[in-house]
Amino acid sequence: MTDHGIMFAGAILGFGIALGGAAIGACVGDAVAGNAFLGGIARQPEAQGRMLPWLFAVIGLVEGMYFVTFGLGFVLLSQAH
Amino acid sequence: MIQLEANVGQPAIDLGCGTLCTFNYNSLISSALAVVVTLGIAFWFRSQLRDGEPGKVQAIFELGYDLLRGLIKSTVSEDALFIIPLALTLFIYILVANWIEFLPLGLVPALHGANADLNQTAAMAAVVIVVVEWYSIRVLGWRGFLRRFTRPFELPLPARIAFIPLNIIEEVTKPVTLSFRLFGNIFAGAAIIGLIVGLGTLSLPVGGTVPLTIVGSILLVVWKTFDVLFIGFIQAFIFMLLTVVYFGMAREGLEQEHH
Repeated sequence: MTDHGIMFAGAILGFGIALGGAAIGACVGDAVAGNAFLGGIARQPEAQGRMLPWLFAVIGLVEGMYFVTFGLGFVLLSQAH
Repeated sequence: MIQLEANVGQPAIDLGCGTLCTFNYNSLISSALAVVVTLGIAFWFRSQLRDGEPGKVQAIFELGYDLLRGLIKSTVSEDALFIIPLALTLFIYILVANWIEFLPLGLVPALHGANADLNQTAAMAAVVIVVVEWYSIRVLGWRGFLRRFTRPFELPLPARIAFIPLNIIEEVTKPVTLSFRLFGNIFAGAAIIGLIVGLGTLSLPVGGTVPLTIVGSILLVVWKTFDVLFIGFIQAFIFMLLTVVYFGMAREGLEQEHH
């Protein structure tokens, strides 16, 4: 168990845990957005066309947080050499 | 493939004066190509514009332009229409830079999706935040600009002092998340493309590398369609949307707002 091995193992483990938390957050966020979108369609089916771009905007923002975690994790992982 | 060295995998050239002179020439070439294509598309749009009855291209462009202008009028204000060139240029450039990744770029090692480099997205986010702060100072004046950091305005002044660090953090977070969101999306897509391509080098006991190459090709087409076309478009749209929203937030605290 060298120092380098421990650092590398810790980095990959941390990356995995961070990604797990980010995935849970992204799933919950997407589900809430989808719930609101479906509720809106149920109340006013003819407004679906106006609501669809905003669904994608919110999903993009939520998934954006996930990818921020992914990108930041990769940058930090690449520092563990 | 993914390299876990420094620079998150982009080969760099060091011109000799340390960190500030190190260029990722891959990203420079890719973004130069994206810039040329964007300019070409813009001039082609211009050549399609006609007085009188609009053609298809002009109709679509006018639709997008009207949506953007309505968004700016409702979010920011009537006299902030200078945002339109900035927002539209960002949208089209990010879209083009993302969609270039749909081509088989493995054949040309110097090209990749330009936004897969953090320097790229950080540069665009820096430009956006500088213009937003300048606009905030122009609209609110220096006193109003500093007062904006003591949000929320409903509480008495002593209680608002505690909110100053929170507001400063929020202001600093804006360009950071803006750049990291775009970088993470595109970089993750490129990383998964690299993984799927690597599938083709695995050799099964039955049939060698052929079955996984076929599976990998189909998977690559599916993934590229979803990631590059769909997510690329959404991230470009979100960048533009957040730019406009940040301009709107820069006006907070203006007394005579009546929308």
